[in-house]
Order: sequence, then C-alpha cells, then structure tokens
Amino acid sequence: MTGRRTGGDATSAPWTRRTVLASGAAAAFGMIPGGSLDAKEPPPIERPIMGDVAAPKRLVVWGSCTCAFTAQLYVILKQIVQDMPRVASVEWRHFPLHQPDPALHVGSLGFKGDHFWGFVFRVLGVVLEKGGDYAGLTPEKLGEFAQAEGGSAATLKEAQADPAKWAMVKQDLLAGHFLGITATPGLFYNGFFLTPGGIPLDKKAFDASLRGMLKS
Amino acid sequence: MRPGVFGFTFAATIAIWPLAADWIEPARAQTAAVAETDPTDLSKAFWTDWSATKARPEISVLAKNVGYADAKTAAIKSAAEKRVQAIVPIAIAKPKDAAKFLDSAAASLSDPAVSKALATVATLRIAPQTREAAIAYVAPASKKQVQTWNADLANGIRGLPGIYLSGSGQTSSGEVPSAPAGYAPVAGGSFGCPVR
Repeated sequence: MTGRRTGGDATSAPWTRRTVLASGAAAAFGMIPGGSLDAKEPPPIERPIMGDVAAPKRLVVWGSCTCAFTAQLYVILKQIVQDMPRVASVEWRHFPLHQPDPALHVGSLGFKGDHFWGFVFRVLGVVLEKGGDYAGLTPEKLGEFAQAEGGSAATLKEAQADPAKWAMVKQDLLAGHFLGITATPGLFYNGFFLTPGGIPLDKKAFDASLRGMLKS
Repeated sequence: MRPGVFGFTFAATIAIWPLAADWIEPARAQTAAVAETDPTDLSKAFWTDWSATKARPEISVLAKNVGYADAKTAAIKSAAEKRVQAIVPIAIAKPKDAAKFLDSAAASLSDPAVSKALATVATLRIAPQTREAAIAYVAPASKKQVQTWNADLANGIRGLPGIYLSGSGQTSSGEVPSAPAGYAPVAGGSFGCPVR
C-alpha cells in the first residue's frame, strides 16, 4: 500500500458521562481557555485518503466493510494508486449495509493513515475470501486485525465510544442516499457516477478503463 | 449511640466520601462504557436512527431535488440496450440549475447531518466556479444562508481546489459527455451489494 499522506485522524475524546460533566463544569467555571456555555462542535475528523492527498485526480468511493464487491474494487484501486502515485488518490466514504457494518466503519476510524487502510483491507480480505460472508469477522478476529495495525480491541472500543465518528458515518450514508447509491461500491470521478449498478464483472477491462481515464 | 460516637462516625463518613466516590465512579463508568460500546447494540441503534432519518418527509424531498434519478434511469436504460456498463453524468454545469440545487438545500442547512451530507453532494456535482455564479440566481430569502454555506464548502476538503470536479467533464457548448474522457464503458454485466 502506498498512502504517503493519509487521513483518518481521531481527534475527539470519547463522550462519557464523566467527560461531559467535567467539561460542562469546567466551562461553567471558566476553566477552559476561551470557554463559554455555547456548544462547540468537535473538531472535524479528516477523511481517509489512500495515496497522495495532493494527487490531481481523486476517486471517491462509498463502500461497505461487509461487501465483497467493495473488496473487489479496492483490489483494483490499491494497485492503481501504487502504480500511479502522483496521479490518483482514493477517498473512502462510509456506506454500511449489513447489520454489524456500522460498528466496523466507526471502529476503523480509530486508526490513522496507513493503519486505517490496513485495518479496512484486512476486514475486506475476510469478506472477499468468503465470497461475501462476513460471519468470520468475530471480535477475536477484529482484535487480531487491530493488533496487526498497532492497536488493540480497545482502539475499536474507543472509536465506537466517540459520537463524532458515528455522526461522520451517518453523514456519509446520508450523502450516498442523496447521490442515489443503490448498491455498493459507489464510485465517483469528476462529475460521473461510474458504478450505478455495481462494478463490471470484467475486472480486467474495468481496470484498463480506469487507468485510461486517469492517464487522459 | 452516644452523641460523641455519632459525631465521629458522621465526620469520618463525610471525610472519606470523596475517596469512596472516586473509587466507585470509575468502576461504574467502566461497566457503563463496556455496555455503551457493545458493537452489536451500537449498530442496532445506528440502524434504528437511520430508519427514522430516512423516513422523514423532507429527506425524501431533498433526495429528489438534489439527486438525478431521471438521468440515472436513462443511463441504465441506454446502457442495457448497448450491453455495456451504465455511467451517470451528475455534474451541474449551468448556474441556474445549480441555484435550484442550492435553493432546495437551503431549507435543510440548519440540520448539521443533512447540511454536511448536502455539502458532499454539492462538491461532487457543482464545480466551485459554478456555485459562485449560481448565487446570483438563488432566492433572496435564502441567499445569505447559501452564501455562508457555499464559502464553508471549501473547508475540510483535502487536496487541490476542484479536486472533485475540475469542470473538464463538460464541453464548451454545455453538452455533457456520456463518460469521463479516456474511459471506455465496460461490456457485460455489473454487480454490487444492494442497499438495505
């Protein structure tokens, strides 16, 4: 994987009863510099981007962590970004589909940069290997993946305790809904929805078309 | 109990209460945190919230007004006849059309989730220069709100200006090509995972 400059910063602290009470009290007593009783939005979470963020051509993908076709598309895109590092980058957008999917998306946001992609690719790898069956994504397996990416099961739990990350996933899902995505992956490039019916079965031709488009 | 003993017990209880509270609170918080972050329960709560959001009448109206259902249907029909992959041009090139989008969006900008979702759609469908030009055609009542939102759209974008929509997708005559330059639609079927 390339990913010279990537995103996915986890910037906000978990919102527990204690932190909310503590920050509320601190604000009330003027203990936060510049603090006021006005509600402040938490700092935005940077979007995960694979490849060079300054690459001039950006592919935007609404994907599901439990979708084998999303996994198939990322096999293609990962190689394209590796082969064309100064040309193309890929932006991840969340589009959960199945029952356990939202927590996977939010959990993945506990990882930054290459580790985000590392975690997501491990998850998608299981789904791809099992032909779309995501039953193998057990807590133990996810814990293993988290450890392999320098975290632990606690990394996932902490991310899942952050309302800002849940809000981000919901915003992406809502945007995907507005964009008329009815199947994942939803791939967009420069004013075109390239996969309204999913990805083409002929992966070799699809790969060649994407490369031709990015070279033009 | 003699008054002296009662007084001592009371004073001692008061004295150690903060320590006891400090011990009890983390234990309670830990239990609560585990319960609150059970991934299955959290995902279920997410879907419940999503169903409620999707069922809101204004969401359906927005999906229609900022979407491109007709263009998508036409593209899929045309692709099926040619037995190639469907591709939908989604860019809004004319400022007057962009103004219609912005007018539709204006009513819902006070909802943060909707506002941010619409910002994503706007950045993918309307080039920055077209958005600027569209302001002149936006309804007077929502002009100021749209201007502010429009300016904010540039924030949070990682990469070069126009990274999502360079404008090169349209010809000078305003005609929209059926596929991006250099892209050959792939023959045969397409498959994806259907939405819930």
